[in-house]
This record gives sequence, C-alpha cells and structure tokens, in this order.
Amino acid sequence: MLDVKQLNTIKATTLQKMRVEDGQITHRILIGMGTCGIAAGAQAVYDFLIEMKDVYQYPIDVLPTGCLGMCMFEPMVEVVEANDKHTMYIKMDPLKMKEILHHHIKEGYTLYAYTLQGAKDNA
Amino acid sequence: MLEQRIHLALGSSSNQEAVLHQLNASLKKNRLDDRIQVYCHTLHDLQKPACGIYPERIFYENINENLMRLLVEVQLLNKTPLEQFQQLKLDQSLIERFDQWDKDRFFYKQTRIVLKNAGKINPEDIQEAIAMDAYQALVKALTSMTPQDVLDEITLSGLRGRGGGGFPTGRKWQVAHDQINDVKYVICNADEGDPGAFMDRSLLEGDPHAILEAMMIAGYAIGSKHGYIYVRAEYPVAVKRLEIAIHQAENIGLLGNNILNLGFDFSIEIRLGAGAFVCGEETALIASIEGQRGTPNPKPPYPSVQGLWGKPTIINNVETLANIPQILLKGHKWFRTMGTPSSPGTKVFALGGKIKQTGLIEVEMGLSLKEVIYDIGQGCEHNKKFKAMQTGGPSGGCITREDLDTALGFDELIQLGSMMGSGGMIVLDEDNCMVDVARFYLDFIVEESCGKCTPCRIGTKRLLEMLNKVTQGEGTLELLDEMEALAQYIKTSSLCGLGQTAPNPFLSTYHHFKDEYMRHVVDKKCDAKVCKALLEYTIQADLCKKCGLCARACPTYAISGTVGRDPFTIDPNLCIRCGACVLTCKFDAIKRQ
Repeated sequence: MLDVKQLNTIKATTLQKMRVEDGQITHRILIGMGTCGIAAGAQAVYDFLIEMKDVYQYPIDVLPTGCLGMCMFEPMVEVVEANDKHTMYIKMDPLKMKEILHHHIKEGYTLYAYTLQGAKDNA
Repeated sequence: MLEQRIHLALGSSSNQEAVLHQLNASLKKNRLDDRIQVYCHTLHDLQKPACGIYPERIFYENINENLMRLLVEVQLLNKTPLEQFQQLKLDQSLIERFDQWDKDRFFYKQTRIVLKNAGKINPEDIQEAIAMDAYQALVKALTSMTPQDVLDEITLSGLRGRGGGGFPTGRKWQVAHDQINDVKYVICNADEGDPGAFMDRSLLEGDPHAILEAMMIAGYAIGSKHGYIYVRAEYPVAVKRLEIAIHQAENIGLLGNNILNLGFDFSIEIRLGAGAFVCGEETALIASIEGQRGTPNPKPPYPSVQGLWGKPTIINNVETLANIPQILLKGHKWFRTMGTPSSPGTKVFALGGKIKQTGLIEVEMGLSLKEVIYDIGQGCEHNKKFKAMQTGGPSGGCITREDLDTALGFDELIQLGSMMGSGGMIVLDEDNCMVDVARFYLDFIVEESCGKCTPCRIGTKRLLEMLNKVTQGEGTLELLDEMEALAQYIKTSSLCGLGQTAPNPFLSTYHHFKDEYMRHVVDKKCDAKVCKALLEYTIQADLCKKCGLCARACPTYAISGTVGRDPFTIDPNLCIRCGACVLTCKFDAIKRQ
C-alpha cells in the first residue's frame, strides 16, 4: 500500500527522469497523440520511432502525450533534452522523423526548418 | 503572409500606451500591417518601453513615439538597423524574456492552468502525472483539511461550472454535503455533444489523473465513496486512457479502500454514453446511468438533493473538476487573481471555423473576444471579413462585430444573447449565410431532441421546416413573424434547458442579422452565395472566350453554345447550381449571384 512518503519518492525520481537528468536516456520524445494528433497521422510517426529505437538502440524514450492545442500543426513531436531544452517539431511524418533522428538525436543539432519557430507559414 | 514579429514590452504607467498606438498607425500607413505581427506584453516593473524584432533578434529600449515611427520606416521598411539606438543597455534577463515570448507566441495571451500537463506528460503513465503534482492536492485535503475546509476553499474561489450554466460549484457541493445520507455519488460529466467542441476530450486524453484526483476530493468533501465518469463512446482514445489511469491508480493504492493509508475510500467507474446530445443534461445523464432511457426530468428536486438512485449526487463538468486540485494546492486567493470578479479563473475554448490558427486555447476570463480572435486566432482565413462568432453550441448564439470588445465571462455573454456553453467558438466570415447557419444548428437540435415534451419535439421540427422555406426562397414576411412567435413558445414551454434554448440559433441570428433574413424573404437573394435555390448562374457574353470548357463540366448539359463562334449560355431550368462551371472557367466569365 502506497503512503504519502512513497508518493513523494515517486514524484522526485520521475521528475528527474522527465527532465532527462537520470543519465539513462539522452532524449525524451513526446508525440502529440490525442484524437486530433492520431487523425493527422501521429500513429505512423510513433510506430516508426518505436521500430527505430528497437533496431538501432537509440538511448531515447518515445512516449505518447495529449493534445497541445495547435491543431493546424499536427502531428507534433517534442524533443526534450537535459537542461530544460525543448524543441518542437511540427507537421511530422516518418520521413522527416528519420532526418531528425539522424541530425538531432545522433549528431545533436536542431533542424530549424521543421520546428515551430522555423515554420515560415506559421501565422 | 507574416514575415516579422515585433514584441513590445510596456510598463504599467499610462503614457506608454501611446507607443503602441504609434506603432500600429505607422504600420498601417506603410502598409506593413499584414506582414508584421505585433505582440504587446505588460511588465509591471519596466520603466521605459522596449521592443524586440524577430526573427532577426534586434532589440531597442527606451522607445518613444518618434523612435517608433523611425523604427517602422527605417528598420522594417528598408531593413536597415537603426544603429545609434540599438541594444543600448538592454539587460540579459529582458532579452531572455523576449526570447521566451517569441518561443511561446502560440500561447500568447494564454494562461494554462487546466491544460498545464496536456502535451507534457505521458497520460498512460501514472508516475509522470505524480511527478507533475497529481494527487498532491488530495494529500493536502486528506491530511490537513476537513471536508468543510475544502468546501469553503471552493466556495471562496468563486469557481463556476464550466459545462455551460455557470452555476457556482461550491454551492452545489455544499448542498450535497448538507444532505444526511450514507450513500452519495460524484459524477463527472464528459458527455460533450456540442458541434465543434473538444475541450473535455483533450483534457481526458492529456491529463486523466487530474480528473480522478478532483473526483476523489469532491468525494471527500461531500462524503461520497463512489464516482462515475459518464463519457461518450465516440471518444475511444479518452476512454482507453481513462481505463488505464483508473487501473494504474487502483494498482498502486490511489483508488480503492484506505487511500494512501489515510482512511479514505473511493472507487470510480466509467459509464459509456451512446452519443445522445440530451444525455449531457444532468437529469437525463442520471437516467442514462441508471439504465433508463436518457430523457430529462423536471427540476427540482435537484440532483444535489435527490440524484442518482435517489441519493444526493453532484455532477460536474470535466473542466470544472480539472480546476479543483489547482485551487486546493494554491489557494482561492491565487485563483481569484485571474479572470473577472464574477467569473474568476480561466476557460478552455475550442477555436474553430474560418480562422487562421484553429486549436484548443486556454485564456483568462475577462479577455476581450477581439483578442481571442485576432491575437490568438490571428484573424479570419484568406483575409476575409469577420462576420460573427458562434459560441455555446446549439444552445448559444451569435456575437457580431460590434460586440467584439466585450470581455469574456458568463454574465457578459448572456447579456449579449449568447452563452459560454461548454466553450466551442466557431468563427464565421462573409462567406457564411446566417440563415444557413441557423438551419444547420436547428437541424442538429431536431435530430437530437429526445422527444419527451411536445414543444421541443414538434416545435423545433416545424421551425426547421419554416427555415428551409426561407432558404428555398419561399419565405414571406408573415412566415418570419410566425417563426418568431413559435420560437418564443418553444422557449417558454419546454421541459429542460436544452429545449428552452433550442430556438436560440434562430432567435439570435434573426436578432442580429435581420437584414439578411429580409434579403432572403423580400429580394430572394443570398448575399453569401450559400443558399442554392436563390442563386443564379449567368455567363457574361463579353468575357466568354467560347472555349466550351464549362459545357463539358456541366453534369446536366445545361450550357449550350458553339466552340469558337457563339458565346455560351446557361439554361436556368436545367441548371442545378452545382458551381462546376465556375470552377472550370479560366476567365471568370461565369457570374454567380
């Protein structure tokens, strides 16, 4: 049976993991997978990432998450790194994701053209 | 297309507003206002206004009106930086703030309280929710507060039901708490049926544990041990995530008997709604959970006194519940700092329709509708003219251009003849015919009327038939009078809230857009070119190049002429007004009116 102390332990350890500070993974990849995201094709991106992770053993966490509220940019993928660095990629598909895996995850630089900030047509 | 962004930081002293006016005026004068987006932020500790230009990242401080004019003309128009003024002693923290604003510009003017975890955590993992403070409010309530303390906190916060009516949540809970009964129930109403609304779905999909926690707190406050979540079967993802959340919470001892070893029991069950709009009404919802046909019952007795299986029951909307843990954790005073005195807090809206940035937004109450549409939504698509905004779903009404300065709030919107509703906001532009919009909503209501009371069952059907006549060009002035009278009858004699608000789509559009109804009835014209029966297609002989493309596209062979010799003409008797010819004509020779 869980008590308050254990609840707080879970909180502290998970928070460290979510901030990518526990040293086991280098990137935490969140895919917007509400009904809206899935409708826009997030499932294909998710399946692709899971497969890539299995095949190439990337030290990443691939997780579904809820809707961020930006319907016109779905499917969205957020890459979280240590030191609170967030990068939001928009309108993703498996092909673009492959580039991101290579450039961002392996080589470590951001693909500005695919980000929310970089999107020219972004309102 | 927007190419540049200016973030303007203003202090709170009054004369700084002039800078913003000068900026807007200069932009307009130089015709830059459709290429440059201005974001205005208030910083209370700022002495002199400052601004940042993105994506170049050029900053200016100590701006005044003259500099602003120069800036627009030199920097923005000719792309030459104003070197003598640039980045004087702008401190690093301010620059970081500008960067943050630019990064978050979708969230510009948004305050995310309810949606704070959506898109940040994995909703299928309870540990991530716990890491983001889930269940901390429950711990606080169970360890350091009595049920009455919880009730007082909610009452003082002034939280009002987010499902539509705006009833004070604290009062509802207090009534249920005061009933003497050993069995009470907590129900979460996730039967979101309004066309164009998806706030509850996103919340359940993004942060299901917030709802579970809030239901437990509600259970503790009123003395209930059992809760139901009534969710639509059309939301399979939300249902799946809720099931996972409940299962995980039960497994680690956050649901069930003796929660967290603090001697509190609570269990939650999911009930699936089969998708009837009326089941969002609380008495119908209770009937549906009991296994009966989902039809409303007269109130009183209110559910807080006699609800599910005759026991005291509180029914709260998903969004209302999602506010509860935050209020308990941070206190009612914090909650009161947001929004207006009569409607504190934030509200989630589903922004849709003919708007550039559609999506789910959460804003503080008291923001003007203009800011929602033009700052967050970025205005209408294809630079069309804004005509009206439909809020509150089929029970709500339209808000016109004149009323856009109104602040968001429960009472303010009701004064305009609309309502907050669950939070769907559908923007309509000049291409929408208001008669057709009313017809669409009424069609929805006729289909969803449960049929228990006559005014709603038959009255709305007759009203729809009359509206159809207007769109078919068979309307008369007497018919409009008849419709208005019928609408009043439905309003006054229906049984439940849904029936009483059923004629609102007609009443509201008729009130605000009477001239458009008159055009349909008197001149038999539809200016938005939506009502097909009132349209007329003609080929302008002087523009026609006699190519014959339109004749080939016409599905009913209504267009005749000879290629290369005679201009083509349309036979109005054969024309079905499909518009195929307009799309094929390369020379805009076909006129639609």
